Amino acid sequence: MVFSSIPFLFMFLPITLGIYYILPRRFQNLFILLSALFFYAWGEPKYIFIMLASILIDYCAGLVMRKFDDKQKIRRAALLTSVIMNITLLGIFKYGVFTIDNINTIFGMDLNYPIFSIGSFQIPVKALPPIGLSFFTFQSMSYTIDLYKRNIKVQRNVISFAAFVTLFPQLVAGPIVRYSDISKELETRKITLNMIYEGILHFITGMGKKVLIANSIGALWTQIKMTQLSELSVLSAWLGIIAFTFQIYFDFSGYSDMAIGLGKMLGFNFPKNFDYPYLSRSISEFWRRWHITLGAWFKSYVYFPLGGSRKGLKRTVFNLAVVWLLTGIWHGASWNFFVWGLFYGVIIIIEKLFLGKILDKLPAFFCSFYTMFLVILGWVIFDTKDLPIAFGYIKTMLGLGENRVLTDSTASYALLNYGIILLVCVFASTDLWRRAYDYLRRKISAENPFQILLNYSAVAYQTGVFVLVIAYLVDAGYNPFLYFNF
Amino acid sequence: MKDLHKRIMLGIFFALISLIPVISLIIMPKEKIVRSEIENKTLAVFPEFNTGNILDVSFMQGFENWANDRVMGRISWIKLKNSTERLLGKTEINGVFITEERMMQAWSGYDSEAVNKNLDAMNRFTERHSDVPVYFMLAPTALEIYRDTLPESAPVASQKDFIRHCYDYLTDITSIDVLPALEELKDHYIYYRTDHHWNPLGAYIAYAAATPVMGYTAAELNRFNIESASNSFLGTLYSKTLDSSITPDIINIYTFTESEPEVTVTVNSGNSIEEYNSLYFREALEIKNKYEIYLGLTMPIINITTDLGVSSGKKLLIFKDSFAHCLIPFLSKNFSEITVADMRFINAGYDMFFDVNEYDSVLFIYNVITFSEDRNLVKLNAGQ
Repeated sequence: MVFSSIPFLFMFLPITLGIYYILPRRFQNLFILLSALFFYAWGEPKYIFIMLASILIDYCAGLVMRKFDDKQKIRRAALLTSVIMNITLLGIFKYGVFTIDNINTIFGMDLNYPIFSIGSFQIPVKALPPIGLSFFTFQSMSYTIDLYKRNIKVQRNVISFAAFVTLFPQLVAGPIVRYSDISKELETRKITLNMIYEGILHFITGMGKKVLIANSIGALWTQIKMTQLSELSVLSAWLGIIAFTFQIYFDFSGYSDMAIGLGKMLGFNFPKNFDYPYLSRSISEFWRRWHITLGAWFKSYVYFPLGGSRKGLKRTVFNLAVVWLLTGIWHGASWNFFVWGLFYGVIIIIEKLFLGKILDKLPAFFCSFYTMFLVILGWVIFDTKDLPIAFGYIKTMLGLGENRVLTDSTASYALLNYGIILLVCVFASTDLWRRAYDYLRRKISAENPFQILLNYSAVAYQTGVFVLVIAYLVDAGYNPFLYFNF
Repeated sequence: MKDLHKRIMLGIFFALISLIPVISLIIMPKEKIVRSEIENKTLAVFPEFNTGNILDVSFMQGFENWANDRVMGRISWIKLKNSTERLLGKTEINGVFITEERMMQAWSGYDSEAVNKNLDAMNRFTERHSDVPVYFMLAPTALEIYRDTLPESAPVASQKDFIRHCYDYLTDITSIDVLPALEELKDHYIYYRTDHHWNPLGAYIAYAAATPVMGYTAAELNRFNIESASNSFLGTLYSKTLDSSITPDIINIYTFTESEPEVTVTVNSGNSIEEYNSLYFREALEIKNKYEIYLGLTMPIINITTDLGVSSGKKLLIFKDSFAHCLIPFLSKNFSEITVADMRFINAGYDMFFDVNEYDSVLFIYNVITFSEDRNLVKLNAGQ
């Protein structure tokens, strides 16, 4: 199930929250688990077993580590089992088809895709992984790794553990919540009026970002992506990929906001996942502000264990390369994601070596321009069908492509139809709005009648956004789910 | 009270997400199949619940469609969405351009392979019936005639070029070019503003252009009495956009001032045959899709016999889409028998309905958009 749909909003959400708030505390985790299984099965009824397998393996690995607390070898074996099993699940269900396709092409073989069957029940390996696979395996692994490092305590209750992994707000599109983030809240949590209020604000903001902004601007990219490269003008190419630049940001950060909001409504505080990434002044900074929980995951569980930047320059470069290749293919099984990761790896290594210091001395607008230029080029690699198209598209953008026409009617029509929404995107991806609001809050004292006005205008604004969201969902048009590759 | 605004926000949010579904369920009609007249569509039905449907996710998709279609105030939600889109500067909504004057069905191009298949099928049909003259009228839609009212950069393909391509491709079929006449009279009310069809006046212009080519004389316009049967027609394009900024259309009925000939219209729906004694089905004035006043819904076969007072009246066979419906009343003033076949609804060959050799002429009438998207003309040669 996806958040931005009528069944979620008018069936799943009211029923789940209604029952959840009435239930005694001790049944709440079980209820979260059951509702999350329903939530997941709604979109992936067959592949739910993969999620259950991952949960069970990591739960048992945890128990084993606890039982043999003083036997380091057994603890290590338990950790390895957990990590290898999770990576195997990823390897088969996310990279299986890609690997077999490439083996078949390179070696001229004719291997078939595997099908797993339990009795007459068949689970085929598809080109697209089960929804959320990359999220829940990473979340689940954070538990065994942290447990091994003795950063957290074991979870003996299988229901609480399963509730953590399946917790529906973050199940299908992040943020990647680590066990340590919410281990306390799994046991005791207090739901206050304030939390629910904040949750609703986050949820509505996220819905607005996804349904009103991302879907609207995404339609432009969908249209331009279909144009043959030979007929694409330079301006159209730029408009198209800028549209995607905004689509992916508002879609993805919108999902994270919705997840954080729903988490708050259930009494959980999830970590922040986006922090106005398009305001960054270097690529390194961009990745500290974009999909923060993923970067942090790789940092904690790959980069630091490899030695981080403490084992000399060569090793640092190597470690960064590994992390960025993994980050690339985490987003999907294709050569595009591989090259996309490599692209960022190279830039970040260069920034680390010397460019970062130079950027520090350059004017801010130049740094912003440099960052966004590369980020936008990156999105071309990210969201085109294959590498030749990606490179052809970039060539067109630079005026070196098949078609060197500067502008055409597609571009002017796009500006006419999407001009306003593009301006909204530019404005909404900065923190101006937030800063103005916070400034007003600070300036106006609590007793001031303007404070009341401010409070009620916020309520009116959120209500307005939510009503528009419902209208856009009812007339179901273009409403894609972008994370099916992840 | 402290934090009153927070409580109000909670109240609004939970009221919206719980009351909307509850009220929707309460006021939902009990019938399984419900039509939304204003949108001109049948609302999705509740999906069948079984293991197979669940495992292949079709139940969930069906549920989602059902839920979307049955939300209370659905029409108001859609109107809200579409007015927001227009406010944001969108000129095209759900495949319809909206200008100050009118709505026009969008058309950005065609698949030439599929179109040539249609044309090949027509050529083969003509070869088989070389002793009957065959004509083709490919009518432009309002989009071509009023293209100049759209932004210059709008993605609109030239229907003129398309019509040229089709006419050039055909071998033994005589083409009837109605575009210049329509273009010349574009300042008159010849296309509906909220519907994708032309209106009787537009059809009359085409009729006047066609008759000389086919060897007949058109009945003069001043012989007709024009009756305005309705001025509140909101057509198919309105259904797609639910935009109320365009003036509703007028439904006109054209009858001879002196002695309208007697007619018998038989409509064969495939399952049943119904008979009417007028070219205009006035009961359509009561429903939303008032264009049905012109010979009703599209049906496989319609037969029209007109008492023209001549002993050996001429017979005409028409293959058509719905554009023909408001043109046929005029043609009935020249042909005492007209058979109208819609190949979209005839699958097993037309032989069971009529014999082509009995007719004096065969006329194909299509509009550019339907013709470019049609995949049924190949059935002309089914079983041959």
